[in-house]
Order: sequence, then structure tokens, then C-alpha cells
Amino acid sequence: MLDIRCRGLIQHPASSIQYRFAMTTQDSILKATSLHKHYQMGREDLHVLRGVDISVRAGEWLCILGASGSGKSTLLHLLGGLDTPDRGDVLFNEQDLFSLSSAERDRFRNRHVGFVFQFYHLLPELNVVENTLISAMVGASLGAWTRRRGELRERAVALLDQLGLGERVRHRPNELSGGERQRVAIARALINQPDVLLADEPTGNLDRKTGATILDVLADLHRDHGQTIVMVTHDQSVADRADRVLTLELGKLQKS
Amino acid sequence: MYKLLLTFRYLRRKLIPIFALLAVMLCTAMVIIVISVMGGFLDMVKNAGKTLMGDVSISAGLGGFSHYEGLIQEIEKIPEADAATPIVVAYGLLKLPGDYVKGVQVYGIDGAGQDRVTQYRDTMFWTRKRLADPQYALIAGVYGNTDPVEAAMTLTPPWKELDGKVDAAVIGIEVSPHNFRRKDGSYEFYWPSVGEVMTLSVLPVTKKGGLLEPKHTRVVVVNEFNSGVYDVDSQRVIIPFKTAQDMMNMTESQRVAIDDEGNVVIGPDGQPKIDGTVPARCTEVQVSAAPGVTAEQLRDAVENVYKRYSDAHPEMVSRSFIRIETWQQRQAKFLSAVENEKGLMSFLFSIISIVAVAMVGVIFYMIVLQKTRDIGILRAIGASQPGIASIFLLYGAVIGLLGAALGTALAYAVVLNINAIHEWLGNGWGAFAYFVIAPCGGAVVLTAIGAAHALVETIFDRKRLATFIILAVSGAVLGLLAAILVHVAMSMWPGRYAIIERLFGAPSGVVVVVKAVTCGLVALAALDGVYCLVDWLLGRLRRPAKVALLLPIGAVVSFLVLLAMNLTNPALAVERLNADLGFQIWDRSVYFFDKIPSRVDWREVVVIVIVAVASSTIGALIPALRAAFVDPVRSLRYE
Repeated sequence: MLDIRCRGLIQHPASSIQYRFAMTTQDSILKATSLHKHYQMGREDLHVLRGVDISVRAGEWLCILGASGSGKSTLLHLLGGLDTPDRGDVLFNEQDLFSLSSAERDRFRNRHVGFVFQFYHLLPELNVVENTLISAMVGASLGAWTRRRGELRERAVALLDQLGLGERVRHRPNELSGGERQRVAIARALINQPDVLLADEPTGNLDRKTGATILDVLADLHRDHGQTIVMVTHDQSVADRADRVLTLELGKLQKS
Repeated sequence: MYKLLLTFRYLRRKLIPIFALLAVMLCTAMVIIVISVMGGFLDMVKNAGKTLMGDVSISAGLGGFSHYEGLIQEIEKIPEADAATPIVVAYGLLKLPGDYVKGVQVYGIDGAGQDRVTQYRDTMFWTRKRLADPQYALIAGVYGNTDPVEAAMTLTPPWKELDGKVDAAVIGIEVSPHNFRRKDGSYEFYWPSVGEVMTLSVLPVTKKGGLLEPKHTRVVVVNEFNSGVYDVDSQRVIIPFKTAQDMMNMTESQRVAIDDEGNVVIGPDGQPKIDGTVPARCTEVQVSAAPGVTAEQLRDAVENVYKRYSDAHPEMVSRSFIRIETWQQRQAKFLSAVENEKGLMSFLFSIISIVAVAMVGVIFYMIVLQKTRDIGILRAIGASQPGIASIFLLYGAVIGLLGAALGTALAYAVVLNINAIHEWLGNGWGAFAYFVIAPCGGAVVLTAIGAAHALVETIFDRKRLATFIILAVSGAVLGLLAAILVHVAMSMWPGRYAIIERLFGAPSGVVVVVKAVTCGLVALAALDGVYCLVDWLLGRLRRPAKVALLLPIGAVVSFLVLLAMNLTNPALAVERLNADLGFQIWDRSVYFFDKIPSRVDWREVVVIVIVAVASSTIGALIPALRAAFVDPVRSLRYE
């Protein structure tokens, strides 16, 4: 249950390259301690996160529930190393993310986490399979890409097939429905077989029925491949699908 | 890898990069065209110089120097020199038909010798080929069966009745005031010079610089030459070397003895006493270089020969009188002016290129702003800041490369066809203005009137009379403004706006204003009338369809207006438009060369292309940095 690479479709694209994060079998894969984050809104200082502690166990589906503007997205961005906290640490497999150089943090984001956003955020110029592969491309040098292109492409097509997009690989994002776009975004997040999938309101922009299919996709990933998922939402019914739910209120996390 | 993919995708999908591409392309083309034309001009000037004076010349003042034959023999022995020939240069007066007298430069040359040093033969205007042209039938008749070029080479009259009686002369094509250069560079001969006997007068100069009695000789023009350099073509008269020597008292002569008091010593026979001979002189020796030898190398070699030779013959002339120069040195004043001009033009166009860099910068900045979200996504999936920056830098470089390549192709096409393009601008553009621009302008005006009509109708709740009144009043206002502009323009540049003058007569304050106001009023009301008619005829058509139909109708109306403006004959109208608007840029009656010279130097092109690519990349630098510093969190937060 710990490493989807063992059972995953294919090997990790970066596994041939040495990197700093040795996989361990301890319970907590991602851990944050006393995270603080301020935002400056005009003259007003918003203290969004006021000492958040969180521990994500490998293979679990964790949901963070919170109202709009409660700082859920901020927390998710901090966990993924996309944003930096004012105070506090984020540890990935015991490695402090913010003691890494920015290049190393970029590499961490590429190999170990996959982001899924509320508004899909696909690149409009690229078709479905290219949008899926872009994460792998970002992680590979020109030489590595040329060597492994066929293999990665096969993997992307297989992944899209699994997500029910087998017929859509050549389409561009503007030719897809919202649900389809979100599935492409999930494929993009999964192409590098990340340790943690970070989903920010993945159903927030979809109708209930389509949203449910997206949650089914996440549930399948979690169940069949033991994918670790951290999801944030404001919707209780969405949160109910997760293993564990924490509520973000007044800048602190509480158990629901 | 993603950088390449995104660079090419951004290039393919968006309209904006096409503008950047156009900017780079046009700038590259512009600089290449300017440099090629200026460089071509420079080459042509240089060639003209070389054609006229060989590679190196040894010259003294008008007094000349002796022992030139021995010197030429010595020079022709050295490997650097190809050939050398003596020349006598003098200044004189030429009396042409119609008692027209002109100051000229007299060149006494040996035709065959001159042809070995310069391309003397190639500068001859009258050749058998040209004489075959029926428009020169009259002159062909003068020559009869004789060869005009041969006559110029031997400098003897080809006409038996004149042989031995007068000397032959070859005069510059611009010497005779009866030769008229047309706009297209060809010549018209109102009173052909060929076969005319003219009188040439010179003032001989002694070796010591004293002036002697003027000498006159009658010469018959056997040919005219066209070197392409106006100064030379308008002033030079070529006569046989011996004749010139004779006229200038430079032939070998006996020296009269002079006593200590400066008096001529009279011999026992009552004649002046002769105490020796004065050797023959020339004023200049021209030398051409052997293949592969530069003018400078030849000059150094000739200097050595001269030094040796003059040491052996100290009576030649004082060495300080002699100038040994390359043709570039002699033309330095003119060449450096053109070279300066070329440098200045390149500098000016480089400044314009900086505008292109700024444009690329602005365009890329807009792309970056548009792509902020994409940049956020790429950062989220692990793209580094240098990676993001390199997408835009690569993008800039690719645009620079494509733009420069297209610009080079465009420039090459233009440079290759520059004379045809110029011809078209001169003749075709007027036609283009007549047949395309004016009707299109009319179409646009009518459409604008339609829009104004609709607006007024909306404001005044569809009352047709009100529409008419408003449009008529605005016509009057526009007319008044036009009148003021016309008045200002005409007082600032009198005679420049012939079209306006034809329309409104001479500028005279009130009259112009009244006429312009009336015209504006009538024109707008009439156009609105046309619009109403069209509107009524077209009934309930949708607006785009109406506009689409208004355009051709406007074109027809404006064409009718053109006809009404007395420009019924298109050919005449084109000529007038040309005259009024001055589309003929290269006036062949001003420049020496009858064609716009141009040549593409590929080394220059390579430098320009490299600069274009570098500029475009530099233009992309700031936007690339901006992209690198996009905060992914902010850019991803909202849709």
C-alpha cells in the first residue's frame, strides 16, 4: 500500500535518476508543524493559517473541509511546496521542504506530488495526451525525453484509457466537457506517479453528477493503487467520500 | 523538452507572434535593402573611379614631367603592374555648335594604351549595337559603314574627307548642351555632336609654369563616352596624346640659350642660339594592377620604381611635384562622403531596429500576461524559473530567426527587383492610387456616412429631415476644417499640392473657405442622399449585408467623382498623380547612374541576421524574467 510504483502501471520516469527522497515505510508521508501564513489585502493583514499541524499517512485519503477563504487552498499549496509559509515546516518523508533550494523544490513538485485544481488549468495549446505528458516532459531533459518518449506516451494513453478518455487523446481542452477536462487534469497529476495527489476543490466547478464521477475516479485510485490523496473542499458531501476529514476553522485544523 | 513543445505551440496558435515576426522581418529587410543599395552605390562609384583612372596614377602639375616613356618601360617590367599609359591633362574651352562655349578638361590619351589600363572601350556610347536602334538612324547615317568604337580607339576621324585635316575627339555624353537626359536615363539628341567639327582652345604651360599664347585646334567628334560619373561626363574631352602634347608644348623641343640677365642669346646667324633639347612631357601616367595585386601594393611598387628611375634621371622633375596615388586616394573625398552616408544610414536604421526590439518586448509582455495562468500551472507541476524564462527566450530567438529569414528573403527579392519596383512605384503606383485607393477611400467614406446617418437617426428618433440637416451642418464644419488645413498647407508649401490647387484655385483666404465649406456641405449631403437611396433600395437587409453592398457602391461613386474631377483619362490622371504626389523616388536626371545600383553582401546579411536574432531575444528578455517571477499561487487562485 505504500508505493504505487510497485504495482503501478509502469515504472517511475525518474527512477533511473538519483534523487534525495528515499522512500521509507513510516506512517506519515507528509507532515506539517505549526504553519503560519499571512496575506496582505490592501492595508489589512490576513492571518490565514495560525499554527496548522497536520500529518498525512501514506495511502490515506484525507479531506480538509473549510468555508471559502478559510485558507484551505493556501494549506494545500504549502503542502505541495508551491508556496512558502511565514513560519513552520513541511516535512516530506522527514525532509524539510523549505530547507531545499528552489530548484530542488521544483523537482520535488514534479516527482512527488500531483496537483489537481478546481478550474482544471489545462494548457489550451496542447491536446489531451500532450497535457497529460507535460509533467513528464518538465521532469525530463531533452535526451531523456527522446529516449523514453514512446514508453511515456504509451503510459499516458493507458492512463487516459483508464480514466475513460481513450477516444479523446487528440482533442484540445476547449473541445472537452468540464468532467473530461478534470479527468485530463488528474491524468496529468498522475503521469509521474506521485506519492501524494493534492486536489483543490476538484469537483467545485462541476455539477453534482459529474463531480461524483470525478470522486469515483479518486476513490478507485485510492482503493486499487493505494494513492495517497489530500483533498480540500467546502462541501460536506464531497468530504464524506474521504477516509478522514479535518476541518479548517479560524486558521487551525480540527477533527470533524 | 516542454520548452520546445510550448515554444512551437505558442508560435502556431497565436496571432500576436505574427506581429512580432512582421516587426523583425520588416526591420531586417529594411536594413538589408538600405545597406545593399548604399553598398551598390558605393561599388558603382568606386568602379566608375577605377574605370576612369586605372589603379595607380603618377601625376605632376599641368607642367608635367619628362622621361615618361622610360618610366613606363620600367613600370611595365615589375610583376605588380599590368600596363601603363601616359596622359596629358589640360584645361581649355570647347566651342560647340550653336556657338556654345564650354570650359572643359582636355585629356590627351593613346587610345590603345588607355584601353589596356582602363575600360576605355566600354565607356563608348556609340556602338554598332546602339546604332542599330531605329531612333538613332540619323546618327547611324553619319557613321555610315565605319565603326564608332574603332574611331574612338585610334582617335582618328573615320570620315575620309576629314582625315588628316582635323583631329578626332571623344567628348563626354553630358558635354553637349544639346544632349538631353530623359527621366528613364536614356538620352535624346537634339543636335547630335557626332561628326560636328568643334574648336578646342588651350593655354600651354611651360615646364617652369609660364603661360604661353593660347592654341586653337579644330576637332571632329568621333564618339561620345558615358562613364557614369557626371563630373567627368560633362567636362572631359579626349583627344589624341600627340595632339595634346603638341597643343601644350610638351613635345620634344630645342632649348633656347638664355644669358645671365635673362635675355635670349642670339647666334651668329641672327637666330636664337640653341643650346640643347627639352624632352617630351606628359602630366600623368596611369598604371593598372596585375590580377590579384591590390592598388596599395601596386602603389608601393610603383613608388620604388619611380624612386630608382628619377634618381637615374634627376632632370625629370623635382620629386616633390610628383604624386603617386591609388584611385581610392584620388576619389577619397567622394568615396568617404558616400561611405559616411552609408554608415549614417545604417546607424539610423539600427535605431529603427531598436523600435523593433521594443515591439517584440511589448508583444511578448502581452503574451506573458496572457499566459500567466499557464505559467502558474507549469510551476505547479515542477517547471523551474529558468525553465519558464527559457521558453520565452527561445520563443524570442525563434521569432527572431524566422523573422530574419523571411526579412532576408524579402530584402533579396526587393534588392533583386529594385529597379522594377521603382518603375512600378513611378508608373504603377499612380495607377494603383487611381484605380484602387481612391475608390476604396470612397467606399470607406460612404460606409462611414451610413454609420453617421444611423447614429443621427437613432439620436433624433428617425426623422429623416433632421438627419439631413445634421449631416449637412457637420459637412460644413468638416469643410471649414478642410479649408483651414488647405490654406495652411498651401501657404507653407506653395505649389506642392497641385491637386488641391486645381480643385480650389489659387489660395485666397475667403474664397478657399467658402469653396471648401460648400464642397463639404454638398459632398456630405450628396453622399447621405446616396446612402438613403441605397438604404431604400436594399430595404430590410441586415446591416452587415448593407455595409457589404455600400462598399462597392461607394467605390463606383468615388470613381464617378474622379471622372468628374476632369481626370477622365486614366493615363493622364496617373501622370498627374505622379507629378503631384512624387512617387518617382530615384530621379535619374539627378543621380549619375541610370539604374539604382544594389548588391547583396552576404557577410553583411549574416551580421544583420545575427543582430536581428539577438535583438529579438533581448526584446524577449524582460518579459521572460517577468514570466519567471510570476507567483504560481496567485496565478492559479482564480479562473
